[in-house]
Amino acid sequence: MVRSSAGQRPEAAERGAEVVGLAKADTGRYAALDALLTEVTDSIAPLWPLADFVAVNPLLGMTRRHFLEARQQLRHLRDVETLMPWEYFHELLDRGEVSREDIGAALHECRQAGLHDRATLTADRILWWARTGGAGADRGSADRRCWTVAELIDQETGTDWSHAIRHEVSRHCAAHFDLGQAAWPSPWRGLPLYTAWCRIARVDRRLEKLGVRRFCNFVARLPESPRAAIHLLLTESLQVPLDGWRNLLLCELGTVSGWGSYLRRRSQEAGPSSADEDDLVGLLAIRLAYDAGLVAGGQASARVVVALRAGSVADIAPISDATWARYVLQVASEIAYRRRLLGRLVARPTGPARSAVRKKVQMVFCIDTRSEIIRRHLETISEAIETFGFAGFFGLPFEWVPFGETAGSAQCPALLQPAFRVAEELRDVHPAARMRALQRRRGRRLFRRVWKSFQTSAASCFSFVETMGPTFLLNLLADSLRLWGRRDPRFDGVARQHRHRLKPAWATTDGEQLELGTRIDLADRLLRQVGLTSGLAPVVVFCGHESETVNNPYRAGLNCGACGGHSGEANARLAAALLNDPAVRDGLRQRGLDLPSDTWFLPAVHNTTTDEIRFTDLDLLPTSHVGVFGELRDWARRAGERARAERAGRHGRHGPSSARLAFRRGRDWSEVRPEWGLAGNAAFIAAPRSRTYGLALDGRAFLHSYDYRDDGDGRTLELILTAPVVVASWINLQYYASTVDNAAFGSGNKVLHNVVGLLGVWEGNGGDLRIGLPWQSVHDGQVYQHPPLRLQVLVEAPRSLVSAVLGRQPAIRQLACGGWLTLLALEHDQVYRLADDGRWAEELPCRHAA
Amino acid sequence: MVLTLVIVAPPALLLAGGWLLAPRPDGRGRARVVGLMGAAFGLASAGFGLVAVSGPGLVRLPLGGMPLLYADNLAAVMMLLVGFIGVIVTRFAIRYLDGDPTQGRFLRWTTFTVGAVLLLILAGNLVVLTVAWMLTNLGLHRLLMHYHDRPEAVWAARQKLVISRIGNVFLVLAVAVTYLEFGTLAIDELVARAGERMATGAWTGLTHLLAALYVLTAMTQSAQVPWHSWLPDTMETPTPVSALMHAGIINAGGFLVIRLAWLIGLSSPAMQALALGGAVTAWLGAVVMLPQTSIKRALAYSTVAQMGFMMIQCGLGAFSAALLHVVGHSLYKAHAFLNSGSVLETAAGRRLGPKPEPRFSADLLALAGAALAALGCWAAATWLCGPADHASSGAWVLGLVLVLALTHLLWQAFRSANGAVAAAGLVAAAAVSLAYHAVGQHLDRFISESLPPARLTPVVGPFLASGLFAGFLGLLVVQLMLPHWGRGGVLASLYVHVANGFYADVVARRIVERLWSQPQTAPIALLSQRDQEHGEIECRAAA
Repeated sequence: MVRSSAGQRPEAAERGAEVVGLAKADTGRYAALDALLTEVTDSIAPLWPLADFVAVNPLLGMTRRHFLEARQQLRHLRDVETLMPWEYFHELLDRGEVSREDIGAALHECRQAGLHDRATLTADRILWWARTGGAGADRGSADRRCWTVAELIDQETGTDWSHAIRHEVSRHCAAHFDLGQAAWPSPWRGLPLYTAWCRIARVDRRLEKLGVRRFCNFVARLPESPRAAIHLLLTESLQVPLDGWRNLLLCELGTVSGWGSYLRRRSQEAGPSSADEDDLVGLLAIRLAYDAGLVAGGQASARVVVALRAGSVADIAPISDATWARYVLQVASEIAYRRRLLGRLVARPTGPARSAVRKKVQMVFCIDTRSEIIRRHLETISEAIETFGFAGFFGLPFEWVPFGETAGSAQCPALLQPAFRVAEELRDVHPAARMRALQRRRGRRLFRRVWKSFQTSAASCFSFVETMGPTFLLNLLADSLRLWGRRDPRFDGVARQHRHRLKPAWATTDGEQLELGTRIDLADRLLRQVGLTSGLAPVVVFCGHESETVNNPYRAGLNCGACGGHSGEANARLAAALLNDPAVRDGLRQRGLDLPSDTWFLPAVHNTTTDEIRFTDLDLLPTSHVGVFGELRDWARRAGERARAERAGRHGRHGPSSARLAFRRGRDWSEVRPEWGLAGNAAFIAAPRSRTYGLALDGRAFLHSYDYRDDGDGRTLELILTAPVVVASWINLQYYASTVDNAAFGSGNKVLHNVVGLLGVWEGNGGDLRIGLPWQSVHDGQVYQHPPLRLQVLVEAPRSLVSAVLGRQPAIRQLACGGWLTLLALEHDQVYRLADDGRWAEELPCRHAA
Repeated sequence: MVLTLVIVAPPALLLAGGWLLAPRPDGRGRARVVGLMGAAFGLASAGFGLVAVSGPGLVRLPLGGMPLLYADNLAAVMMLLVGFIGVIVTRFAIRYLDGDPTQGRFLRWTTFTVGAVLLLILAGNLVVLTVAWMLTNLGLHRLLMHYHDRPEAVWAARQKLVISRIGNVFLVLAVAVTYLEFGTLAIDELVARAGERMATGAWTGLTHLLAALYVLTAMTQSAQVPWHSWLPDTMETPTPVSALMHAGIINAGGFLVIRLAWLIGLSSPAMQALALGGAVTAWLGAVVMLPQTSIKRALAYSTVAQMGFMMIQCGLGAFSAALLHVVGHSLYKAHAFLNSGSVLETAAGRRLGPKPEPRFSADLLALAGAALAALGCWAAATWLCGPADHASSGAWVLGLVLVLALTHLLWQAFRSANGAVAAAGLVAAAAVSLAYHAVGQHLDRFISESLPPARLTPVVGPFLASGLFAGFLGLLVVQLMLPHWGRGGVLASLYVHVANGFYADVVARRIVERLWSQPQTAPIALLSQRDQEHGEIECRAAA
């Protein structure tokens, strides 16, 4: 099923009819170009709209290469950076977080893996360079060798064409993919992007007024198909040699990489299609057309064109000593973190994996790093609680359709597609009351539309301001003083006494129930993968998580990424409903999973801003469990208090009143840092909870429950490595890239954000669509709240098992060996690290000689 | 004595306070800035109360007796408004710019600018007014240049600087001509003398000139066409600056017109020019707002349109309605900007199932019903509250605008084919028209002493009135026809030009380029002959 989004999709038939003739006969001519286009479009990472914002590794297209090689390739084409500057490492050294021994160990690691053999690179020299900001280091030749026409003209004449063109392209894309901001939508919305642009640019006089002569004529003469256009522009207008096509196309795409990312996601969701229908190819054609238009319009001198051609075939610059040194420092900072983490981990005595005493409560949390804190405090408060870590969607990929609507949001990780639909229903009410609620909801939302049109339409906005304007005094006071909360549209039309009756229904909007066999399969998989096959407590809680924030376009980024950037409540409730179903329990019993008859599954939601745990579906709780639940509620309240106090320290506030700040931050419309989210994430630990029990990991680790003894064939490990670890790696690399180069991979300064088309943000007046995280999410104004460290994945399993899984999953192997994450195996209290050359190296908390 | 203190303190506190408190870059001391703003607002409220109860207050210089500050009901209302906006924006900026090393500088300039606006509002003579005008523009320039390393911010600030300088020239000339004509610069005396002139009907050529100059000054400050192009490009400054600017500083032009209504009202051509300029601006702003895809840009064009409408009201002699518009717009826009991160949340609250296809006949029927109901609401409200006091033909045009707005509201409500929504729409329309009349009349009575009486202000001519009528009707037609415009033809091309804002910003940028002699995009004339020839060759190759 196609992953649904909040907007409209054009009709396929309409698009086919509008794209004029690229006959089958031409496919031979463009064969080389097609292969190139596939390679170019694969090199860019997808971007989700704001409503479904999830973390994506911005360097996703480069992970086939090693980290450093990817850096050189990127820097050849774009002005980006993937290593922190000298000043940062200097600070680390000053603070004592990285020691000389760590640098020595890093050098040893890099050399052992055969990465380089520069004898001149010693620990002392690297230390000297770090302290002096790279004085005397051989920086090598400049990394950037390939530029677009606009950039070359800007270098020569001091103009700002690259900015103007980026703004133009962005404006067209925003009007074309607008999800409902503009009252007058683009008349060419249904067409493919390139076709629409051709129609518009023929009429748009802006570039001509800026000085590009006869640009409209130039566009009018371009072919109708983007592939043909790219071919024409490369061969005839710009006359780029064939060897240079790839680099030039990548370079052009790099200047509009934000919109490129958005279109990449759309292409992936639409499935395979011809290159002519691919809007990403259309975007490339548009960007090339602007460059060629500059040349044709007389803005580019002969020097510029020659430089363009030369740049497209230039070799990638070799890695300089200075770059190596910074990479070694980065590895050293990761080694320092690993040293501290492993020291604490390995030193713990390991008892039996699971205690023999039956616990009172078991809680399954998401692997999110914020769960680590509350789990630790819950377990500290009572030994009768056992916690597990599992992907926050609880193995249930569905499309969640809210009450009264027809389409919904995907509640599963970005890697998956929803497998079935679940509707929110008003259960246990009279059908007439349900109809009334539906009608009230519809009426309320319709009236909001009417009022919005009164507010913003050209005819009535004047009278609106004059009559209703003074009432905004109340809004300003209420928002500024936090007098009352904002109404949640989830409860539109539903009477207050019926709100808790809004529940997920297995019956889909078509009225079909999900088949019993499928439900048993889902339940079986869930229990086995979490590890809850025996020794179940009377109360088992599935705890999803969500964030609480106001006036924040990035709220989905703080929600559960495993649930597609939405609250995990629906998944938790569905998982509990699934396992409480007697029919499903019977089916599980037939498969050998005999759950105790007194076990009740309870859904809950962890508010990651205030660390409150809200339990839902309490009306279904059997009376026999009320006592245990009362204790659980009290434990959750106390754990929340402690968690708030611990997290308040990160905001620089200490003391008893500091914890209350969490409540303010979630409700303050002017707060740009409601919570730190996943900032600081550095490790992923797949091990039984007994291994990490009680360890203070500062909310920096993803904790996934895994016991290799129950996983003989390695299937569960394979699932963990290919799904949660990949998601965690995406999160980690997004935070990493947003910290290292916020201008290229992050979304800039939040105070300048301007929501465009209801799908993304511009920073300021315009410019490219922004990807990644804002600067405020990684920095608090004084220190980096996210120290940029690549993910360290620790799996408690024999090396042979891990190697077997890696053999079956080359993509993960490439991530581990390519410097994108570090894979560690914990076997019999000895930790081994997978080096870049694919061999296991012993990793002890002892020092290596430099 | 108390009144003097309460009038002098707010602007003095704010103008000096920013420097004295000196909030540090790490943010310490910023709570004191909010405290200062709050104190100024408190004093402004006290001043409002005192003036409302005991009449206008005049603060004179100790020697010479030259009036320095003048607080009548009009100034009291504006003072309250600007003080409130200042407090809200400053409080917002505490958390919003937390961690930003430039937060201290931001708070300092915000305080200064709000103080300058307060001084402008309370100005008792034209020299103080001019000084305050220039200080306001200085503060605004500093705020627009807050992130001066961002090139787009610099361009917008320079555009505004050019326009501000032009406005300053107009204002200084106007003040000079006023002195020549009336022999005094004190506002209360000017009002008295202008009142005599109005009553006796003695106008001279200089009167028309000075009215025209004041009108031009106001138009440069309030982003009227052609001096509007800088406003939509000011998104490179933090959101609170946009909120403050759109809510407190842009309407300084309107305030100038209302304050000097006695002088401008002496000249019928000036009033008509004001109404005409406002009409063009309102039309342009409202239309260009429609295709904007980013929230802040849409809000900026909305401000342009609203300022244009305010000028129409001034030009029609409905000065109290213009003041109501200023107040309503300030509060609405400040909230809209500060809340601009919530567009996704509010859009979620409007999500429904698939919309039914619009049927032409049903729409037409709904339109007819809506028009009748709108007329009915307006008539009922007029009958309940009594007719407005301001100039008769002006009231007709403004009443018509309200009727058209209500027609649109009711049409949307009726065509949704939902009984509850239609009923709610009717109730809303009735409430809106009642609010318009009731609040408008109360405000009119409150500030009537500061404004020329309706019988003395010039009557708008039939041509202008029918032109305005046609313009607003045209806006309604445009709005109704929008969903039905297809892909081909002239209307679709119009979309492109409208989305570009009719290229006004390109023209403005070229002027700024020339003035700062820094090519952003090289015009054709600067190309060398060789490059032009080369361009020809490439052009042929592309064919």
